[in-house]
Amino acid sequence: MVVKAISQSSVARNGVGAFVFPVKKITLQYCNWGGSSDGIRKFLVSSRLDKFAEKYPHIEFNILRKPGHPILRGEYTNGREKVICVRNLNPNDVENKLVLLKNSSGNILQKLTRNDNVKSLNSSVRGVWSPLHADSKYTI
Amino acid sequence: MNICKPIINKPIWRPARLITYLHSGPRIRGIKRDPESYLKNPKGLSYNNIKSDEYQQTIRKALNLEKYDINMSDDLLLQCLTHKSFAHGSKPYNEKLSLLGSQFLKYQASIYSINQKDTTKKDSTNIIENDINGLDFTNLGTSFSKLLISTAVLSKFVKEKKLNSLIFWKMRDNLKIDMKGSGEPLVCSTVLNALIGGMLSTNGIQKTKNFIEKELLNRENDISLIKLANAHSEKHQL
Amino acid sequence: MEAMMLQGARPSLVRNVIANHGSSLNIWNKCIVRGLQTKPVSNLNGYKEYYQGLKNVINNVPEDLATNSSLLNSLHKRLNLPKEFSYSLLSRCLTCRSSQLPNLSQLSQGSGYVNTVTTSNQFDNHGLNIFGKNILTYHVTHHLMKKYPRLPTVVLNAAIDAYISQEVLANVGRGWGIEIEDSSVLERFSKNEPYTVTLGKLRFFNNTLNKEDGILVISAANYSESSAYALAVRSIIASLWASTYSVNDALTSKFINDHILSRKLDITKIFQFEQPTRELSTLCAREGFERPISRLLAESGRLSKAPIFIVGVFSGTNKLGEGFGSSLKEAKARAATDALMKWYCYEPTQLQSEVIDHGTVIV
Repeated sequence: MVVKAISQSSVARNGVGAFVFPVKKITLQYCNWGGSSDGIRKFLVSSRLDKFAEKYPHIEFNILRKPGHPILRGEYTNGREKVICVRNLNPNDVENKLVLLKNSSGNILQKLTRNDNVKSLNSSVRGVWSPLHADSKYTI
Repeated sequence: MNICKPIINKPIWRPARLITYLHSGPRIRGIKRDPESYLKNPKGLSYNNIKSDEYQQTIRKALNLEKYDINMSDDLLLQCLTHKSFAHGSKPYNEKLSLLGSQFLKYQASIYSINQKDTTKKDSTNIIENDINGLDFTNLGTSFSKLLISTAVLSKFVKEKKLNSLIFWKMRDNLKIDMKGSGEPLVCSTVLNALIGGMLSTNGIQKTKNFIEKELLNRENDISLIKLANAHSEKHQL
Repeated sequence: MEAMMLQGARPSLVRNVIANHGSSLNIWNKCIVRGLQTKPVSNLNGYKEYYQGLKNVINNVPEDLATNSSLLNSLHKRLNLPKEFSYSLLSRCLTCRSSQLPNLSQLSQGSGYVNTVTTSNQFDNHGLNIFGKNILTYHVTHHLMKKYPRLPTVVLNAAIDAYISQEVLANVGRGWGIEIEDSSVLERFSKNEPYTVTLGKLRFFNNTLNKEDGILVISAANYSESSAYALAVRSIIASLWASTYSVNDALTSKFINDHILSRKLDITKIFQFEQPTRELSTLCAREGFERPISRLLAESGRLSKAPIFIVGVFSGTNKLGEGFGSSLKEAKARAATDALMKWYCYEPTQLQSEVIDHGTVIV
């Protein structure tokens, strides 16, 4: 036997085939006393969270009462978590932050600069230009 | 830079003498062997002189392929019955077909196992609802479910169907006369697996499934894996 | 406590117990002592009750309790499982047999130290895992053999492994958001945690002593976290088959296609050729092609320090492959590798009839 195998692992491509939502759990932490939790308290009292949770049944919502500034904590399937402080925010803004957590992939934020917008696991379809294969009129 | 166009039609240098001595008889290092001398199975059947109406028809008849409406070409059947050890892999061999076939057989045998209602289970007195949709998954991993697709049982099946003399393979030790320790059971089991694999690739899942259910995993048949496995376990208990 | 641990350790199971005199060793002792000091009798009874209740629930998951579990609910929805797939079955998929260890009570003298309760063989995922493994292996093998009929057996096996090895399946499980149970029963009791939380987490033998006290249990069996994840993933696939095979047979294969086979694998990366030119000539001889001949197609800077050669390998008038290199030998080897790769990684079209490979070339 001449050909041998090098062990490899396949790479996950979420969204090719099945899409598993990256956010698995969102914890809403509020304080029953502090003024900075005013907005989130109003948000929790209203039916907005119920509607939100009904719309996204794949996310587990936990509500936690704890002294201190209110926090939204999202836990993601990649093992990371994202925490947003929502002190002094009105209910609308709290919901916007909740949407932000829901939409995140959980990855570290990266600044995409210059021309590195295209990211692909596949090799180039067009191939690389080679001077040795080019038509004779283009050779140096 | 030089771009040289390859001259494809340029005559290739060939040796002037085209006659080669082909040696038969005891092996001598460095001398080319006569294919006739090694293209034979341990029973003396020659690979080059196979008659399709004898050889392939015997296989078809033994496995009742026509009954299950399974068409397998002569070449495919021959490939299924050729082991990798034969003629140093220069002829089409069954390694990968057997890999696929063994996976499929394992899958089908586990479906058979979970469908069994085991009445002899010890804790049947305190009935626990552990069935899923009428399937009992605790049957898997037992010694019987492993035995059902073991090398011993599969090779026994091939032998009972009298296919073992048709297999092209090479014994571990050519000088030995008896089959003990020659690796025959493993070769026989790969043949059955390869036949399933070949069936699966050419005739589709449904027909192959039907063949396994009706032919291999059928209690009513005279030769079935279940009967052989039962006989095997009884023999080893005694 | 350490002495007790060593005493309780069974030699067959626990090969080696490494004890560490860490400062955190007494944390659990304190907990117990404090717990017992305040309400000595009633709390112990309460704990026993909690433990027994937990055991009963895990060993026969009631459907109404499982339906109320938010973890199970969200996991069910995240995987888009059909409604035939019951929540109690999903919970059963998360009970590994490794959570049941022989003489566990001896090991810890009251199982407050471990995260799991003893489970029944009738209600763990052992059988489901075996079935899941069979169905997965068959599906992946069939898929790969259909897509690349000529892969050499070693490469085929490596490719199957690349999709369904323990590590890959564990990553799939993590990607599904399955959580592991990593708090002890005592801790859960003191928090008065409802059973529904435990039902939605992956239960396997992960001893808290491992983390808290620096005591590591090494045994012959595989109790690792990734093994438990892989067990759960295989069991979920098996349960999906079990709950839908009578209604919709194709659902499980679709699930496997979507979650496992949709992963990216570059098959050419698996190959490692040792003697490509020799293998190619054997292949040509076997398949009845003309002897392969390498020809120089283009070159640049032969006498410079950075020469480049492009060599093509031909069989008669057919070009089999092409390779580059900074020496003729290198370019020739690359050309032969390219030709072999094109042979082995051949992909037939879907309309084509089945290609039966003649086997890997044996040199």
